[in-house]
Amino acid sequence: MNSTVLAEILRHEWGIESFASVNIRSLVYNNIRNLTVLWFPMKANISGCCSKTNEDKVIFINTNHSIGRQNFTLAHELYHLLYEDIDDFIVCGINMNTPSERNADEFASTLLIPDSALYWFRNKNQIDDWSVEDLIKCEQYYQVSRSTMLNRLKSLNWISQDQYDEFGLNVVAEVNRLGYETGLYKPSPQDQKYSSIGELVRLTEKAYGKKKITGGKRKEILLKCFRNDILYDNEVNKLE
Amino acid sequence: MNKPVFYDADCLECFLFVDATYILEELFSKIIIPEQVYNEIMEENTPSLVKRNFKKLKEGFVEIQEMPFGSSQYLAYKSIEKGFWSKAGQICGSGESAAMALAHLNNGIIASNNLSDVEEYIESLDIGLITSSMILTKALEMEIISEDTASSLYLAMIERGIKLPQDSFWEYFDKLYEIDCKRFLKNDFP
Repeated sequence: MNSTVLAEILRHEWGIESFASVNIRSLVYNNIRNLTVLWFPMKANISGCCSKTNEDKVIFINTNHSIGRQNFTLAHELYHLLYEDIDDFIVCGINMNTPSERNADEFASTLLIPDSALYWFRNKNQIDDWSVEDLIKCEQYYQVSRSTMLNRLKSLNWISQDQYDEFGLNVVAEVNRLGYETGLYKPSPQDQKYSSIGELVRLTEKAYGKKKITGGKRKEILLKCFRNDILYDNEVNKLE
Repeated sequence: MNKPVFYDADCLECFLFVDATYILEELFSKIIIPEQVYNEIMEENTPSLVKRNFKKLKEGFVEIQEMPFGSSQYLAYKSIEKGFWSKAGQICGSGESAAMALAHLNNGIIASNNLSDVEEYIESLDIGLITSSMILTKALEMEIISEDTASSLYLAMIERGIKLPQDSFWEYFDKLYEIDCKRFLKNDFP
């Protein structure tokens, strides 16, 4: 089964309406057992990594990439975890062009914006010739990066190569000019460079509640998985 | 105090959070922290306030103790960490395990606030214990701080999210201080 179909089926299984945008973070948290996702800064050429055993799954996401890119990476890593055998760790970089990476890219793209959603969006907004404003409106709605958006429109032949090149320039400036929020196009803010969700936190709290681990061990694990927000008062975390 | 004091991160952090390490510097000639506690304090996500105040401690006041691989201290530390010395098999944090191992093998005292976590060990290994509440009270007794300061520091620690045994300093002083000293320190903290 090709990766596009797998993404469509997964959306259906997870109860996502065909045209709906998804909050990929809460989706994976709610739908995949034994998964821990950690966000932290990595080298620029790495987007993310993943690994799994029979009992646990883990995904790492590079917070030095834009939020839109991070959403895509999370969906991309899901493909490796759910549909491939993984011996050790899979490290996914930019411009990697193996069949597995291409499949994961197609899966991620469709999971975030199925073709049907793009058709719906185009009809709803009566778009004949895509303008930069249409593009921003669509990527803001589906919370995807500019490159994801451009690749999808290009693959459907809805934009020309010239438009593809032109729309890839001055992204943040154009978003600002049109009055949209720019966070999607930027790396995680400094105070959100490190975070995590999922099973590791749940298991730690459970083990602590059942006195399987001490408070010191709980703190050690939560610090290592960047959950100081659980350990310390929010104001303390903000103090500089 | 005649015995060496080995600090767990939680006790030291109380004073770092409220910028009151001058109390420790007045009360003790030096403090000893295991390397594991130092690493925990310097962890990326430890609040920067804690790290900054730690760096402000006067030079030579903090002794960071390492445990060579395979040494008796290291073996004791690993055994505690993995829960081998606990009847319930409770797994400990590396910082508190290291502090307990060092206190045990050096006839020392552990400085920790995690009473429920260390209680089993201080009883079975006959280790003395001091908590940040006890240190604060001792500082008041020795007139290092005023009553108002003791009270406000205690509240400031609670406001930072630190769990202390009572809601206010005076409640602690009235209800627990004497009991804690007898129970945990015998005559080590006169």
